Amino acid sequence: MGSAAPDTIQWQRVLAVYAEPVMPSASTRLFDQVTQPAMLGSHLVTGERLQFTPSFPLQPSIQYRAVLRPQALPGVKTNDDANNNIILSKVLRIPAILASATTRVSAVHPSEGKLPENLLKFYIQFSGSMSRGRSYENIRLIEESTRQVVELPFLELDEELWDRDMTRLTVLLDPGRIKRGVKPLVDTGPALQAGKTYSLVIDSHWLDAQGAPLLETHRKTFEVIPADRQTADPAAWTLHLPTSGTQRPIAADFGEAMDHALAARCIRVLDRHGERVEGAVQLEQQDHIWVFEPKHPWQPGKYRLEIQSIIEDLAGNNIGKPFDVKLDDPAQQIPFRQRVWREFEIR
Amino acid sequence: MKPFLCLRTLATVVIGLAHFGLGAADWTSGMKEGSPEFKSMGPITFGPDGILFIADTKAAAVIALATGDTQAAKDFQPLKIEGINQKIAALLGTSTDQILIDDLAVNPVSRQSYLAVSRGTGPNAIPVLLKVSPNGQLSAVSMEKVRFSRTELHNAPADALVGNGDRKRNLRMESITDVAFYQDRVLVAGLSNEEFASTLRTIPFPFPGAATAAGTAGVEIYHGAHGQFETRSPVRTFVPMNIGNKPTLFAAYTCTPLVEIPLSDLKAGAKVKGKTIAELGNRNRPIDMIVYRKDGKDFLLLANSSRGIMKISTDGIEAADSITSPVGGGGIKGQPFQTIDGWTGVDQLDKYDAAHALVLRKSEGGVQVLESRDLP
Repeated sequence: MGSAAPDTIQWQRVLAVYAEPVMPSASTRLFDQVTQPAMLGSHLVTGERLQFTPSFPLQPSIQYRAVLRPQALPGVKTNDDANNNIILSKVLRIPAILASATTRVSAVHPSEGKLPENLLKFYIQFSGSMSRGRSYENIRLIEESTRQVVELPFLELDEELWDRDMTRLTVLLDPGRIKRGVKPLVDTGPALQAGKTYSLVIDSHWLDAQGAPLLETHRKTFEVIPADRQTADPAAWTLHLPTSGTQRPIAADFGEAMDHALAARCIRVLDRHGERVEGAVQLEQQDHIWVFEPKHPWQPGKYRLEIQSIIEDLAGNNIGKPFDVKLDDPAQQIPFRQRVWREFEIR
Repeated sequence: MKPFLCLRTLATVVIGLAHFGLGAADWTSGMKEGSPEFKSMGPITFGPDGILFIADTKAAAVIALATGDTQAAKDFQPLKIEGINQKIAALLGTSTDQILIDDLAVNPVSRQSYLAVSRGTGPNAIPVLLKVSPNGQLSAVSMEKVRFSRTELHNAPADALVGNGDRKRNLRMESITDVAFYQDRVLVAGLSNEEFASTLRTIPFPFPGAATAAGTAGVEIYHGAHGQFETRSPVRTFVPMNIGNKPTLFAAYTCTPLVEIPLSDLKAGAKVKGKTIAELGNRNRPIDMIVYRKDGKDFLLLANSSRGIMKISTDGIEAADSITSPVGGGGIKGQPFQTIDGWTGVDQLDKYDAAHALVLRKSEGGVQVLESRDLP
């Protein structure tokens, strides 16, 4: 049976493991030159055996140097010359794994080819999990006529807006360059200008969660059209209704592209009792059309779409509220409602 | 109107004091002993009695950890650790490219500096809490048998699930952009990766049970640009302080204006518009903010991505009008401020003691430096 190392002996001084990047010069390094702290871990004494268990898994491209200093044991005479005191050192080198590229950009939303000057965000969807910390170094916006890289078009947040699996990154365009009357827009103008063509370039050097680069550089080229300052209006959506007894889908045509993530989750179907109708949602035609396929055949009667007002179009305009509300326009001063409904009947 | 306001202010102060007096005796009430679990760590901030608040963005929770680190610091000694990221990488048995220092908080009592670190950069990264003693010793903070309490920010609504059948996933996540403790409450700013909205939550501390979770509902923050436009405005960083005995929040928006918000406005479900006190200009991104007192006056110190660091006077800030006309031509308007040169590359900032700040900054070749600096 082993026992946890007693606190009275500083086992870390007896046996320490140092993590060092694998470099040609590292093998010639003298132990007394070790200036970095030893790796965290726990010591266990089993009979005459001293065992070190690192707190974290060992990693490729790192060499782990175990250094035994028996003179640190109680009762062992010390010697001033540190090098002579080292009885044993052993290096465990974990070879680098050349991870092969398997991850690619699987989609960029909005997927449309024409985007408003006040576009608020891009969603970059990857086929696998990515790494964080250097995202903004790998995304750039290029103005196509001059081939110039647009300076600081994005809101570069250290947090980086990923989902939990890190397969989707939300990239906000700098709101300071979209909001009217705010200093960055006044001084430098918008990041995107109507009439010009831009490319969002996602560099293949970006590393995925396995440390491998992307399969290829992804480029989304789009034309910029004038700013969209209209609120989203479900009353103006065109509904395509199925007939009762079928399981055919209902479709709502927004008349414009809506925010991909919000359109997919902010609309649901309620029956005449206000109960949620089960089914599957899809967005079609570059997020212009919301399609709902019911799990069970439609019953005749009244239904309604319940829409959360936080749903956004591509410029962040909500239902009943534009992205930037013009305070002297009474039409834009309507109180914000959490939800709105659009009724329909299945015959 | 005025007498009413005075009474209300007085009532708020009295209630605030009552809370303060009640809570001061037992900040650890409701805490249990165990090993808190983290999916991620940071931002972090200190409260009273060595309690560290750790925001866990991935778990949508805030954990209050009783560090037991309550021994008063000795006299100030300058602190400078070159290559702090290299030392952390060595300690965690990895390379610097697998280390992210997500936040920094100094225990105001012991002057030990705590670092919320991510070992790894992918979805399976391991969050680790480290501390640096005033003499520069780096060590890990054990999470075994510690006293802690936890509050959930909110449960992700089922509506957020997208996809079909087994492929249903919730891609929505709210990043916690800053956290602060003020008197008897924890303030948390969040930014969604879907809807463009800023939520600022006020959570009573000690944390209430689930029954009172409604008290943690968010406040929506707006920015009014020159009386002409109004937009939702995510808060990047904020700091609470008293201005003329009025608890006030200074917040820097992601779109760069610096605003003032009375703390009493932060009621659940409210819509709050900050008063613009400075416009920090283009090509600039607010990073971190502290308050300090020098020569009998209060100042805000704001770290920025491109303008070094800004020292902003709070003199007359209470009476100052909101900036009402656009500030063009690269000019600066509002509260007087001074750009402090030489403080470039600051990634994190906290107050070290009454006369010093602690900064984590970039140096040559990806090396990071942790150092104390004289407050300007």
